[in-house]
This record gives sequence, structure tokens and C-alpha cells, in this order.
Amino acid sequence: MDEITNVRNILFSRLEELEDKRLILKSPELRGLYNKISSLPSEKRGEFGKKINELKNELEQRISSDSYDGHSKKPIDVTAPFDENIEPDLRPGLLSSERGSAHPLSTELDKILGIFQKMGFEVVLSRQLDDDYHMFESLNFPKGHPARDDYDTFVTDEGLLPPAQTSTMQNRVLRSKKHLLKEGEPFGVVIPGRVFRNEDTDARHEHTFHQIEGLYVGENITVGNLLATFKEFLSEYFGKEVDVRVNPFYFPFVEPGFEFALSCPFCEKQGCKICSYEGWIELMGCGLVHPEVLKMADIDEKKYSGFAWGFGLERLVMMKHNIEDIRHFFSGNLDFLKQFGSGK
Amino acid sequence: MKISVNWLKELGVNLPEDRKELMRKISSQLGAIESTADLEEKYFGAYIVKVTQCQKHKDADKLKVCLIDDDGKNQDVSRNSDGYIQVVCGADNVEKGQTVVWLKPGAVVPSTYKKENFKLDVREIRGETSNGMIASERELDLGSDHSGILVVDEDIQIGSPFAESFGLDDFIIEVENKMFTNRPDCFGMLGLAREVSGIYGQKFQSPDWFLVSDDSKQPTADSNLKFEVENEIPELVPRFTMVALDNIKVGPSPLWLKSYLIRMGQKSVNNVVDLTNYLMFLTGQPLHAFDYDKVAKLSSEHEARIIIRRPKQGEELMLLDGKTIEPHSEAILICTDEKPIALAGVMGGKETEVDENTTRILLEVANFDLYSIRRTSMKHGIFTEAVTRFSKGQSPEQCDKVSKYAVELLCQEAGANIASDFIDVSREHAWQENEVKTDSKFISLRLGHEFAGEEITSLLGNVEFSCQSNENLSVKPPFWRKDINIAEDVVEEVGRLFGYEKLSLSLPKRSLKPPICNGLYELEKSLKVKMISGGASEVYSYNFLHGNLLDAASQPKEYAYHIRNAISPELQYMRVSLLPGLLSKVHANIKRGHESLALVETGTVHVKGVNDKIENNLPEELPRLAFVFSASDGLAKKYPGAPFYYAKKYLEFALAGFEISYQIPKDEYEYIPSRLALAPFDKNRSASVMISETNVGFVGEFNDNISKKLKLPGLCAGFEIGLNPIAKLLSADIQASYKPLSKFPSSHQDISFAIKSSVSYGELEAALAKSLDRKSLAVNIEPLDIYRKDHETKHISFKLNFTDSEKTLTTEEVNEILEEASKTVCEKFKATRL
Repeated sequence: MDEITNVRNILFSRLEELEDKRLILKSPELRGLYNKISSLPSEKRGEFGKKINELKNELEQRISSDSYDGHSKKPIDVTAPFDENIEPDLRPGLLSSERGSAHPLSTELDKILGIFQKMGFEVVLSRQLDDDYHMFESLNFPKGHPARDDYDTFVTDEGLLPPAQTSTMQNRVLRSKKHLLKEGEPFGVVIPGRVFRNEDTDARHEHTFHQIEGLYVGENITVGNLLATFKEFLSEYFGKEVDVRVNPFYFPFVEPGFEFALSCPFCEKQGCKICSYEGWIELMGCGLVHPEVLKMADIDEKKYSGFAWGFGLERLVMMKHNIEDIRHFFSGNLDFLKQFGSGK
Repeated sequence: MKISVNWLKELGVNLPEDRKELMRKISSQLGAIESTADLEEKYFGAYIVKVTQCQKHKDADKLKVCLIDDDGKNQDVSRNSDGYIQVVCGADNVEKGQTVVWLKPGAVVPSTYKKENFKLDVREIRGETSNGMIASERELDLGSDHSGILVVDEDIQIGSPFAESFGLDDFIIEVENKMFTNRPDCFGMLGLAREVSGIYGQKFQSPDWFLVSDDSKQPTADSNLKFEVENEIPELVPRFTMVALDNIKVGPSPLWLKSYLIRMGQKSVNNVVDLTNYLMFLTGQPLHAFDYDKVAKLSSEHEARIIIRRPKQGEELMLLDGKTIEPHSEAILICTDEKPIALAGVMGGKETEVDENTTRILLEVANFDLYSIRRTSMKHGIFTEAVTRFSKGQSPEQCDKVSKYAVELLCQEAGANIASDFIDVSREHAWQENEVKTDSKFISLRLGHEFAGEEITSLLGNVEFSCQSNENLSVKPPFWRKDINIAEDVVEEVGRLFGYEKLSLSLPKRSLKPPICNGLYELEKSLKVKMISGGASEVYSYNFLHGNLLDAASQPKEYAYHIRNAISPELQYMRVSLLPGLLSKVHANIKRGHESLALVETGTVHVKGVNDKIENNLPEELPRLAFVFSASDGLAKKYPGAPFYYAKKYLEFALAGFEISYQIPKDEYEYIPSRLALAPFDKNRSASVMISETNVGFVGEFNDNISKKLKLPGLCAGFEIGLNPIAKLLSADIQASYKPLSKFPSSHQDISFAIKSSVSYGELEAALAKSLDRKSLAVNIEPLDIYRKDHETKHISFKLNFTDSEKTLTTEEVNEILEEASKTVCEKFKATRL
């Protein structure tokens, strides 16, 4: 019996020093005790085995109670640049540069924002938790409006909404920029952000994805301005001239409202897999800002007009890289992410 | 919404033969096309035939061998000597003499059209030849009945193609419903025909019965059915019309009526129900017929009394589909004075259903509040054609017109008589004629295209607007257009009818002012670029996480926003810091074979109780950058020492240029986001990251709790920093820190101390730096080695680089400075210089 007490003392004092405390359960002393069981006379084996198990349980308990407090490891000197007794060539370094990879959505977003910035648009980031006023009311969706059904919004216990579209930022941007109108300056803003929809996911649908919203407001802004701006943007983005087309669409916060398509840049309107043999790719919803939306931001809707748009980022990236499943983006799977290197 | 091309033509629209052109026009000027169906193609090879003989199959109990007569219309099929075609049929109800639908060899079974495309053949079935098949209702995609073959009661010419004889030689274009959220009129073929007419520049003329209520309709002298209507909720029911009809003969619908319903994808029930549905598909206005006698029976003293009201506590109603509901408190109910008989605008009640024994009906054509209908539909999960239409806000002005026309058709097709006055319970001023005043200049300005006044009045006149154009433009939309209220609505109408593709493109004029740069976005980007150049992979993870992950990270749930309607428990909470989500990506990647990895993520977190400084009702958005370095146990030898130092290395790489100091984390942070960010760390192996006295985040190894739950390898450490404090530091005035280069050479020297192990490297280094601080002398201190000799003592060596801006330092001078400094340091820490 003394032998067990002896091992117990050794192990508990070692436990204090040990970095990975779980290793104590693999210590030779403990294993030695177990090995000894077979050499004992059979009538003593049961008692002895029981005692070892008790010791083992005690150790296990100690390990887990320690970790519960977050005090499982030996304190270190956090001000030091490296650990003690480490050879110079084994001290912490960085992984090699080639191993790094930028997320394909970040790379594309940066490219898109870069073009808009060159065109004179300011970048404003979209909120990720918002209220009903910004998601619906300020966008001319009255309470109970059937158009609200088109957005399957998540909602917190408090009634806050992870936004289902980046348009939630329109009212804020209009308010913060309207002083420019008074100074005779139009303004343009591009708003990237995460949006959230309460829907089942599959290869084409994610509950979390990204939109790029934009607003341009000034005097006498026309539908023709909207179309021309996007024709320029898309031609720059794809590096070739594209055609644009709008179909009427209903969104409460624009009037007129459109669904916007561009000629397929991958097949020159001949029809290919990417455009589902249509020759056209539907890109986004857009339109002239509804006067109610301007009014709600205290902008004179008689004097000023503007256009707004919002398109999804994932779709563009999937098209560009031929990505088959939208869920890869949030998977954190390095097999996927590493294919994109540090951004192309 | 389905558009029948033939029906458009019947309503007077001149259409091009080219379907592609029609589709292009519809999608560019009306709304996106969801799908199309060519019914002629779908019903290719389906013929009306007569069964001339029907005998039991010799070798199969359930099969019958039939001979059919197609009047010799098909050449490419084998016949017996009498000219009849043999088909084997498994249906119980097949009999000699029936008129049925035959699908010939080569035909695709219509219900599989554009799906499995099941093509029929000439087949041997147990020794008997079968040329194609005799079809059931389900196989013809007309309904769900598969109990037997479809027997055609109508007197139709034998041998005629099925599609042609049922008016199905049609092309159906389905436009997405959400295109018409604000266009209740486009939920009827009449409205769609008007629109299509408008986009083709043709003037549309609505039928007279739709424009003017036919007041000549009077009850027949000898019939007088009594009923009363009381509307208790005029605010929710702006209009309610009802009329009684008697002598109704309920029976199967005539072929023409069935054909319309088939094309709209609706099942035929009986002539009365079918007629109400037909009118709904035509006008967008749902109608409902009650069995008069059943209503009377459910009223007190058996006299029909209709009351429109809200539900009472505990009331129940059995709907037409057989389900019993307890109507939610805001629903609109049609009741007798005893009990509810219909869920208004949503679904009728079973107890007053029109059936084959019905002879008298009450026909309801009403208008209900769209918001109430929508809420009722959502609450009970009932989505009917009526809900689709009422929830868009139908015009109350059409009720009487549709009612009169319905009565006319019921009299014609079901032999009915008008048996009461037309009761019309309307709220006063429930609707008003609308007038929008604008001018052609405004419209031209918004569209960026010059329009003359006449051009506009003509475009709008085509869809039955009444317009006057002189100096100004006065636009009076017809009663069914509730969406035209402001000048911009007219802009949309004109632009769309004109055709957006004809508008000219021009870029807006803008000033040369450069756009303001978004500091946070630029910071986030530059930090990420750095981390990536240090071999890290950028990861995106969800804002939502499982409560278990918060538990694992020791982050109390009370601080996390909880999603009330989460799709799964995985997405129930919103993250309060980034690291738990990022750490949950480590194990799977190591298992995939990425044995050492560095992950970086930027993102926003929210903490309950920490609200935005300006928008007080909203949580503050806390932008963060998180990083984790990890390697499998197999690589432990390659990465010796505490993992902490690897994370720290990356942190300093990311924040190079900032003066960072490290403190042992406090036991408790008052600022909750800091407390939560620290929670997953091992307190013995982590540090508070300080820049200019501000905590910007934490770096370190993770506690056992989260390490075990996420199966993190022993070699794992990371950091999480707040981007707002860093952006703030960056935006502060930058003090020039450049020092002119010295003309004199530098010299270096190493120095080592034996010191108590309780003294930190940082303290020693700071003391050394302080003691070396001399005017005109710049000393660069670099760590050389840290060696733990025993439990009490460690040795720390530095490499020092001395540069004097005024002179060349001699070795003696350097030694002297060093000697002096080391003395100060040794005294302070009871250390020895080695």
C-alpha cells in the first residue's frame, strides 16, 4: 500500500510542473503499478487494483478541475519574445508566404470596390444587426406589407434583424451625405455587407452571403444614368465591353424598379453553361430611389433624385471560378481556400 | 401568374406569331418569366377515341384488351381488319362505348413532360400487343385522379387531337408572382391582356361588364330568397356584396370552362365552383358561393343571416379542405348569427359548401383588408389562390361588376335565377378616384429621354388611363390601378410601356472631389494582406453559432443575441467574439492533412448591453481580427516551446510599427466584450495586448475546456484584436519618429544577466533600455537567448547596437556605458552580469 501512496506523492508534485497535464496518466510510475497487479497473490489483486483506480480517478479529476478554471498550464513569461531554452533556429517564425491565401470573396470584393472608388464612390460598411426601421420602414415597406414576405429575415428575441439586404444602410447614408446636396455636389456610395436569409441551404443557397449595395443621388439623376454607370462598371470589371438590359421589377424602395442583366461576357451572348444558354446574366435589382425613401431621410424629393442597386457577390465569384457549391465559402476548408492563393 | 397566349388573343390582343419575341417583350416590359409550357407539345400524340371492344386479358386478371376507334386519323399505327387499334388497359373502369383519351406510341405521357419524359411504345403485355395507352386524369396532368382512366363525357368528334378539342393548343407563360406585388390587376387575365396590349402599343378595351355595373339585373318576380348582411368591421371589409340565386343545377362543367381551368392549372370541381374560379382567373377578384339552405340552417330560426366579424374566444371552423381551425384573433370571419361559416378571403367553410344537391346559393364578391388577409394566411399557413390575390389589395370597385357578370354566367350555364336584390355593404369613401398631377418634363427628366405630352397620354391611354395633357399632365388611373399615386409611379408606367431598352445612356456628371477613404475597411484589408503574406489563410465563418460553442468558449449566453427563428440549433446565437468560430475550423483542417496552419478572419461581433453610441437602440458593431496558429502533434518537435510565442510572433508582425506591451490579463474586465474575448484563453498562457495604455485584445493559448471540445492539438495559440481601437490609434496625429542617420559608425556588444526567474524579460529589457538612455546615443536592443538554468534562475542575453549621432564611440566608451547600465540593472533585480 505504501507503494501507491509513494507514487501518488510523486505524481501530484510532478503535476504542478507538467505542461500537458494529461501526460501524467501515461507516467511510467502509474503504468508500473498496473503491471505489478499480475505479480501479486490473487487474493490481494482486487484490493490493489481498486486502489490504483482510485488514484487514477483522483488524478483525472484534478486535471479536469484545473482546466475548468483555465489554470491547466504552467505560467509563462508573456513579455518574452520566445520560450526558454530554445535553440535560435527553432524559435517562432512565420510560415512561408506562399502558404497564405486570401478568401476569394475578399479578393473579388476588393476588385469591385476599387473600381467604384475610382469612379468616385465612397465605401461605407453595412451593419450586421439592425432594426425593423432600417430593414423595412425607411425603405417604404409599411408594417404588414406583403413585400416583406420576400425576405425571410432572422430576428432576435429583442426584435433586431440580421439584415436580409444591404439596403438597410440607405437611410443612414442619405442622412449623413445630404449636406453635400446643399453644397451642389452629388454623392455616390458603395456599401458592401453580409446579409442573412432564413432559408434552407443547398449548393445554390446560403443563409449568409454578401451584397454590394450602391446609391448615387444628385439633381436630375435618370434611369439612363443608372444604365450607363453600370455599363461602365461592368466593362471595366470584365475587361471588355458588355451590353446591359433591364426588366421591370417591383421593390418598394425604388420607382421605377428593375432587374438588371448583362450580356454574358463568357460567350458574347452566344449562350454557354455559365449563362444557362440565355446569353444574358441576371445580376441585380436596381432602380431610381423611391421619393418616400428620400423624404424619410429629409431630402427634398422634388429637387433630387438618385439611383440605387444591390447585387450578390457570391454569384459573381462562383461564375468566375466555376465554383459548384456556395457553401464552400463559409466552410473554412483549406482544400478550397488554398486554391485561391494570395488573390487573383 | 400564368398567362395563356390564346386567352390573351381572345381578349383582343394582337400578338406576333413568334413566341420568342413575345417572351422577350413580356420579360423586358412586364416581368421575369419563371417558366413556359407548350401545351400542344405536351399533349402531342393524345387523341379522343372510342372504345369499341373491351375484353379480359387471357393471362392477367387485372388487364383488359381493348380495341379503340380513332376514325382512322393516325397512319403510323397497326390496326386489325376492322381498322381498330389494340390497347391493353389496366383500369377497372374501362368499358365498351366510352369516349376516352388515347396516348399513341411515340407520345410522351403528359404528366412526365419536361420531367422524366416517359415515351410510350408498342409493347407486348403478357402476349398481347398494346399500342400506347388509355390515359387517366393524372397521366394527362389534369388532376390527381388515378383511380381509373379519364372518361370524356362531352360529345367530341372521335379522332380529334385532345389538345385541340379541349382548347389546350395553347402556350402558357408563367411570370413570377413577386413581379406583381403591387399590381393586383395582373392576377387576372384581363389585367395581363391589358398590359401586354400596352407594351405592344395597342389600345386595350376592357369588356363593358367590367367597366360599368349592369343595373338591369333584377330578381325574377317569383323568387324571393331572404337574407341579411351585417358588417361589424367596415375598417377591414371595405366592401361586401351578396346575391341569392335559386334553381341552380350543379353538375359537371362544360368543356370550355374546364379548358380555362386546366390551362390555369386548376382542378375542375363543379360548374358553380368552376365559374367562380374562372372569374377569379379572369379578373383577379376571388368569389365565393355558399349553399343558401345550409347557411339558413346554421342561422337562428333558419333564416339566413350573414355577419362579418372578428372571431370569438374558442370558436372553431371547419374549412373546405376538411381541417378544423381555431381562427386567430385578428382574422375576418363570415358567420351566421350562430357560427362562423368561412375564413374570409382565405378559404370557405365545409358546412356551407356547394355540392351536387345544392339548388340555391349565396354568391359573395367582397373586398378585404390585405394586411389582415396576409396575417391570417401566415398564422394558419394557408396559401390559396384567393389569398394570393386578396393579399395584393384588390380594388373594391370591381366587386359589383364581377358579381353581376358572375350571375349572368351562372344563369346561362347553371340555369340559375336571380332570387334577391344585390346587397352591397360598403364603407363610405372606401375608395376614391385618384388623380396624379405631373408634367412631361418631369417624366422626361427622370427617364433621361425626351417625351412629348401626346406620347405619354397615348402610352397611358392604351392601358385605359384617362389623361389630359396641356401645360401640365393630369393622369387619372383606372379603378383597378391602386399603385399609381405619385408622379414617380407615372414615370415607371411610361418608361415600361415605352420600353427601357429604347432609353439613351449617359453617365452622371460628377465633381473631381476624391471619395472619402474608409479607414476601417482599409485597415482590415492591410492587416489581412500582412497575415496572408505571413502564410495565413483567410477564413469566413458565420455570425451565428451553436450555444454549445459559447459554452465551450466559456462565454455566458446571456451576452449573445439569440435568434428567435433559427433554422437549426447550429445558428441560434450571434457570436460575441471571433475566435470560437475560427477555432472550430482547426481540427477538421488538420485532419484533412494541413498539419500546420495559420488562419485569419476579420468580422463583426455584437455583445448584448453594449450599444451603439449614436444609434442607441442598436448594439455597437465591434469589428475584430482573429488569428490562430496550430500544428498537429506530429509536428511538435518542429515547433518547440510554448505555442503562445508563435501567436505573439504573428501579432507583432501584423501590428509592426506599434509600440506593444503585454500584461498578464486581469481576473475580470469591466468592459464585457473584453471579458468575453478573453474567456476562451488559458489565463496562465495569455496576455492582454496593450498599445498606448489601451487594451486592444488578447493573445495566447486556449483553455482546456475549449481545447477538448474542439479537439484542438496541443500546439495551438492565437489572438483576437479590436479594429476600432487600432483605427483610432492610426487616425491620431502621427508624430514623426524619424531620426537622421548618424555619420559615425555603430558598434555592437553582447550582454548577459543571471536573474531570478520571477523577473520578466520585459521588465529586464525595459530597465536596461532605461539605463542606457543617454543624450545623443541610440541603442538598439535585441534578445539573444533566454536560458532557464534551474528553478530559481534564468540567463538572459541581449545583443546591443550603439550609435552616437555626434562621435565615433570607442570600445572603452561602450564598455563603460555598459558597465554602468548593468550595475543599475543588477542592483534593481539582484542580478549578476555574466
